Amino acid sequence: MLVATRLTYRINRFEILAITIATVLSVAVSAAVVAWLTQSGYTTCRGDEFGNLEPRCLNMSAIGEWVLKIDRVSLSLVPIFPFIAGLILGGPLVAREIDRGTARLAWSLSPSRLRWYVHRVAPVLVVLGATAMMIGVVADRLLAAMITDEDLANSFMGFHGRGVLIATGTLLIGATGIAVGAVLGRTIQTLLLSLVLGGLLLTAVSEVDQKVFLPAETVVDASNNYSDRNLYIDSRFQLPDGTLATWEQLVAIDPSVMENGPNYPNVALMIPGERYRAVEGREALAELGIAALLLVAGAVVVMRRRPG
Amino acid sequence: MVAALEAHGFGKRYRRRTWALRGVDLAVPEGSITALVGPNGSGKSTLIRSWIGFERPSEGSLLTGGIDPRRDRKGAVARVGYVPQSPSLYSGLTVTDHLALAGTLRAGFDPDLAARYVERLSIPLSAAAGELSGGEQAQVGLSLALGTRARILLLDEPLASLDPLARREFLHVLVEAVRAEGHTALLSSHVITDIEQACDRLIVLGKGHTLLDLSIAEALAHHRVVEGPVDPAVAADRVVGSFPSPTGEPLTLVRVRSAEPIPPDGLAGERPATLEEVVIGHMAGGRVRRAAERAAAA
Repeated sequence: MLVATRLTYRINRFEILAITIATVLSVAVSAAVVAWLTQSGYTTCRGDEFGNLEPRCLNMSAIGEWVLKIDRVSLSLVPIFPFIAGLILGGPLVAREIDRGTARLAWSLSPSRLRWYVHRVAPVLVVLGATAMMIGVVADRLLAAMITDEDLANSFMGFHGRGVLIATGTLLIGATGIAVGAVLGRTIQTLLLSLVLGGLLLTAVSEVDQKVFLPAETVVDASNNYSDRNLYIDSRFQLPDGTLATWEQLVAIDPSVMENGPNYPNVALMIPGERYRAVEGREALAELGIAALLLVAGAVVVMRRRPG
Repeated sequence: MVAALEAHGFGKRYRRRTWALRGVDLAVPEGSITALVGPNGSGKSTLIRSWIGFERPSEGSLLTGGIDPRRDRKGAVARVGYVPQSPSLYSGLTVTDHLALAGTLRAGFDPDLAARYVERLSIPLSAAAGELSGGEQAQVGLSLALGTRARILLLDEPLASLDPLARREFLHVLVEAVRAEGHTALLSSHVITDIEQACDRLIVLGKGHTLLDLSIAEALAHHRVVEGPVDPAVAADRVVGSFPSPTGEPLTLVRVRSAEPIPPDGLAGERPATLEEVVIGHMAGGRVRRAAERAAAA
């Protein structure tokens, strides 16, 4: 297996090196940003009523703004990492071998195509998972460094843009690329279709979670104190008897609201931040499950298809 | 005769319409080096790929070393060393890497044996596949196939990209390995002069059918060429096909029953045929029959 792993790395060295170098650079830059923000305490700087920074912050404001800008830009790039890494590493993995004919040689040598598939896929999944996990952790740290007064373990801030969901999302996109590549056997077409299909699958996981599972966990919040730490699902009007109604339902019950406006309190339906880990874990498991199914589908296709 | 490769009523149809091959009955004897010849699109690659389980028969059956590749592809692949039509090495890997790769994929692969063949062909083991010429890549492909120590070698037009000297070296290695190990080799090729020297059997495919399946000696003994026009009324039952010579003179390939000297009542201008003429004559005859079948169907 060691020899096979080494050869897989050599066959895909450009993609693996590109993703690894990008990850290492991101980690290095992020570590520097987090270290500076943590040590300087710049994020705790507050201005007075005229907007003037407290004295200790004045001499670091120039660099501080730049560091915060790097932090924000880095965080905004994190959600596209699963697509970039997943497509670059997963897309060509099987498709290019069929496209270029190397699968013909390999499959004629190997009585077990499954062995070939495992040799190719396993090392790349390890790289994908490891780099994506690093990026997910980095995103967590960057956010934590910027928002020091928030417990991110109990907050939906940056939901889908940090932590383990970056890793599972990357594996899902990578597995999509592998499975689609096994079916199409054409690299460019695989990249395009996997981009669309992977995006749809990630969206579907989140949508299904919100439509199917989250309603049971929804809490009615009548405080009107919006907080980033909670995940807001929808809003309703609360009738005097306590029941909740949508605008359409309200109009049906009380048509006068069309002219007079709704005279009922507007309440939020939200998932409290304390549920973050549970929701994150459920979506991560769903993404891993779909990725596993796609990898199995890819294996079945490889075992049955013509080598091109 | 024990057959290493067999086809029984084999047919392969693509996209539910076009038959690449149909009604093919063949048996490649064990220990032989058989040439598979035919025009482009005659189904040579399809037949070879089917024996290794890369294609599923649409009708009929195949046997590869006694194994039906449709039912047991793993078993069929394990019995075969295959050299694909176009060089399909990993451009970023060295030759040594390819030997290691084959070792990870195939139990019993002999990297030392394969390395010896590579070195005999003067290809550096440290060279990246992407730096090798098409001919050298084909030779590495042959070395990998020989390194499997498979009893059956399937070679899908490996000579196409080789210069004459490389072709000779390739065939020399192939013939020597087959003779030494008692392998069976099926070699599809267009280069008939080399086939004549290396192979002992000839199969000609034409537009999806078997046109000829004989030993080389039989093929030469059972055919003659008539220079000049042939009166169909005199020898219609003997005519295989007509084709022009390189200088444009009309030639006709005719059948004879044995290798006896040309009889006194032989046709005017009748002479022994070369193997190339036998092959071209059968291809030409196949084309005419095909056109007649199409016309009848229309």
